[in-house]
Amino acid sequence: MNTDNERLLELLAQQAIEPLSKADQEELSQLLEQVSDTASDDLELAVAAAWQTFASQELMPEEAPASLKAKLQADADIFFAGAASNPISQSTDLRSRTASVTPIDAALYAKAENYAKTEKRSRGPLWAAVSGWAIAAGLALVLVWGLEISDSAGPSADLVELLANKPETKVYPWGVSELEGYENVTGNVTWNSSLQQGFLRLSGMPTNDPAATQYQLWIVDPARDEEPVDGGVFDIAVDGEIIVPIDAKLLVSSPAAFAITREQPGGVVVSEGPLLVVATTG
Amino acid sequence: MALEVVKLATMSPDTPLLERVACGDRTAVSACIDRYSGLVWSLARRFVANEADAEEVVQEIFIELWSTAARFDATRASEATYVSMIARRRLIDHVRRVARAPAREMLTDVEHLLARDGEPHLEATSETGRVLQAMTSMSCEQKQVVHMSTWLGMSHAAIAERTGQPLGTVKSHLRRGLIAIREQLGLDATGGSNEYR
Repeated sequence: MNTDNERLLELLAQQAIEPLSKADQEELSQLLEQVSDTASDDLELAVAAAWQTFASQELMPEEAPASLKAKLQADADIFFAGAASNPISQSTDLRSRTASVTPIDAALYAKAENYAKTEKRSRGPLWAAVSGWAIAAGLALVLVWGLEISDSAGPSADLVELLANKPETKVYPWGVSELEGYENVTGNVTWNSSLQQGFLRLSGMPTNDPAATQYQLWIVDPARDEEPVDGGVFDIAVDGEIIVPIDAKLLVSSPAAFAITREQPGGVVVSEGPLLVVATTG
Repeated sequence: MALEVVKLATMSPDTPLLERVACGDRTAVSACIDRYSGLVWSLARRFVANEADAEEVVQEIFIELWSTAARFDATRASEATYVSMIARRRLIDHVRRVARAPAREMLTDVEHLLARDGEPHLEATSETGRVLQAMTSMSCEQKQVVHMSTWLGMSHAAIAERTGQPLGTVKSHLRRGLIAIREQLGLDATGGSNEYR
């Protein structure tokens, strides 16, 4: 076993047990680029097997309460209904937005944007840009809570109504963008981590030509990874307020920020920004 | 979606539940809840004191299970171990979030624990025997570290403080222990070869 390999195993073993420091996480990312995608899972599976073995020795079996099983089934029904619906839809006849937004610190926004432009690392520039910015900017934000119910028909309206009735649903307003063309974008992000569903409400977003560029949503979740989660691509074809269901490609448990970029058709795996509009959760 | 429908139509009744779930088979979803809700609930009750919180974490675990069902690979782990992996992530996260040290059984006698029999306990997975086999080759100190780390979720530093072992020794015990378990399970953390590509 060579030294790099031994170090990789040590870091994987540590990661399977406890959060890594930032330096160790970066070192692990570099080492993992040289091995298969399943590598990090294998030691975690070994840990899980050990964990399950101890559990089988120590725990008395308990039947889950019937009420909990019913909740799990209801959650699954919602989850799979959401997965089957069109991830991109628009609506222009919604009630007008009522949320008020406090301006975001422009200097912090510029710093994040500059970072995204100048840092050309192969992994995670957007995450680093947004997360550092989000933590600071979040302090200056006043979050607006509450939901408006869409009176339009279709999957978006169903989603709006569904999330409005869930206590875990949270709403985060878009910050004021300094980028030309996006200064007047308003709206908010509605997200429910338990259901892994949500939607964007956007007004004043410039239209795009889908053949040339598409908008892409990114979800920053430092609790899960240094990479932002791809929230799906979408188009703005009309003026007015639109609803865009979020299509998170991975589990999002503790979002720190939601950001939109403009990318090539179909989106990209790693974005270099700039961040057009951002909503923070802190 | 069409591809998933084709996959589903060609699956045999023996196809693992999670593979069927990944293809949108709603009967498999219900079967999954029936089969694994007891396991996950038992684990949640072990780590989460408040029953309402435990229910919430179990709901989160199952949502993650649905989200990641397509990643399950029956050639690498049993379904129960995969479910345990997802459950463990969420439960350890919860424990860290509420900053409650898993101290209830810190001084458990691991030898006694592993030798215990004749009492009702959770159903063992196909990997359980292999994990126990791997542990027979470990020293007492190493078993203790693996137990404290994997089961109790203690950090390396906390284990070092508790056992009086140097931090480097704790890390070494754990690394070697997990590698031994991984090898018994037929997994290879470097992607099928111990050499870099």
